[in-house]
Amino acid sequence: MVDMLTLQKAFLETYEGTRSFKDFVKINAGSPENRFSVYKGNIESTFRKALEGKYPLTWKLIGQKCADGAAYVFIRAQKSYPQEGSLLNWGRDFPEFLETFEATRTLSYLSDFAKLEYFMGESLCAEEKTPLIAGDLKNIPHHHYERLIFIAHPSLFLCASSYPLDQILEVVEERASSVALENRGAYALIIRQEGRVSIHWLSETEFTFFSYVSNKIPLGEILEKMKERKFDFQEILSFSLKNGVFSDYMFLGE
Amino acid sequence: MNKCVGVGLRLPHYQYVLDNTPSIGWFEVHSENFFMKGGPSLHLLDRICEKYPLSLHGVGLSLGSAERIDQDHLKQLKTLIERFSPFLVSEHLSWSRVGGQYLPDLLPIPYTDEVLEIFSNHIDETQNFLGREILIENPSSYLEYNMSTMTEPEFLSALCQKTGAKLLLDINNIYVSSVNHGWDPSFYLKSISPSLISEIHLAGHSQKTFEDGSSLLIDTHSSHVCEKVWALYAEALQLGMGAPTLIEWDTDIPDFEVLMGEARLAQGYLKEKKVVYG
Repeated sequence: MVDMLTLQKAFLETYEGTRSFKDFVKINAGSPENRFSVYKGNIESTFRKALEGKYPLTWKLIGQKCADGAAYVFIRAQKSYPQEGSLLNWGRDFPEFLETFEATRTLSYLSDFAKLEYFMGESLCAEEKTPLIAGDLKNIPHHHYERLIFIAHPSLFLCASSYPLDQILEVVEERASSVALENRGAYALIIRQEGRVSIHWLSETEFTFFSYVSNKIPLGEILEKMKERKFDFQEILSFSLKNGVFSDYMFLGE
Repeated sequence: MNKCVGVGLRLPHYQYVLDNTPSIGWFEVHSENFFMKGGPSLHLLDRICEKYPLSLHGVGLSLGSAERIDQDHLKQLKTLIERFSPFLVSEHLSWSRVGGQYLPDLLPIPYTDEVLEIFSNHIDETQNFLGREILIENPSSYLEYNMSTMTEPEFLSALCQKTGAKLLLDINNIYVSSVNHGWDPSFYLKSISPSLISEIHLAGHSQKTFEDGSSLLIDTHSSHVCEKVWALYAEALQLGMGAPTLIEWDTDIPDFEVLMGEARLAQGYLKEKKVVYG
């Protein structure tokens, strides 16, 4: 008798189209192929729904039919199945796939837009931590600032693009009926505040600062790296504390 | 409404339920939809739990896999149980994981001694880890294995006997599988001891017709409970299979009032059979 592991491997291979499951199936009314196809259809449909759930704005941007088509090509081409029994963390590779999908290849900004949306979803479900407020920093002696490392809030995500994603988002969210896309990039800071995801559009300099923070670079080193740029640290610190960007701090060497 | 009828709670209805506090006995959610680390979904469920009993229904633990259960999945489930204190925790008689890779569907298992051993061990491990009893739901299936040596109710009964787990009897699944495989649904019901049933599911299904003219019923949870499933539910109640009953609707989800209508129908059957639960 065939053991369970052999049967389950055969199921996966049949799903991938490299073998037949016929030998395992009891023959009664209805062909084994039709019966197996129900499971294959269910699996693909569940994957598709998971992608639509994760990328609803991308679906809206390119339309249901086109997005569904992209999803099915992605599902059938990809060999990286979820490694866990939940689809909450699956589908991260979809934006990269959109760069290669023939029907949307001319929409050069689409992949970056989908990445932005992915980060929005991640931010919404991120771990909860109380953000730092100004009072949390008041007792730090000035001579320790050099070694100060800010810990970014778990819901903080950064997304840079060479396309004006802010303009595209305005249209998709129907805050503008149409826009003339400007020839510029966009820098987004995504964070969850009071249960909602906010996107703050930054300058390149501000974005660079937060990229350093995300990489846990000490404040002294950040300021040294950014000394050639037009940069108001007090202003960016005030913005950070107001928007809950930091969840903690530590000192270099701790 | 009597506390025995509940509804499967899905995202489009969260706000309606919080705003209107409908008269329903309890809610059930899919455990894996709440495996995130934080955010508003968990807070919404906190608020639902302040007002209603909750049941956690899993779809991804893959108790029927030949390989070991995913320990992270178990830990996440336990975290959820500790946070929401559900009155029921259930999973499926199925598998979905092979070689560490997850296929998101409730895939069928053969009913053999080897699989009974695998499944029993995984239920034991789960119940020990969670420190509580779980329920196992009979699946809708679209194929049978030629290697099976037991019927589905025989397998389920043996599983409960070996592990102490109870059954979540999905009446629609019995009907769908019976039509798909030529089983007698009444015989299926009579083959299971009423004392094993701790929850009942009711849902709608659809029919898929293939190019060769053959067809299968599909457990789509996309419509009203059909007359034949209601009749089978009445038969189960007549056999003494009284248990908290849930209305499920997962595709083309209608207004909450439609689900309430189905719940009232189920309540009517329970009242007629004088089934009462606390």
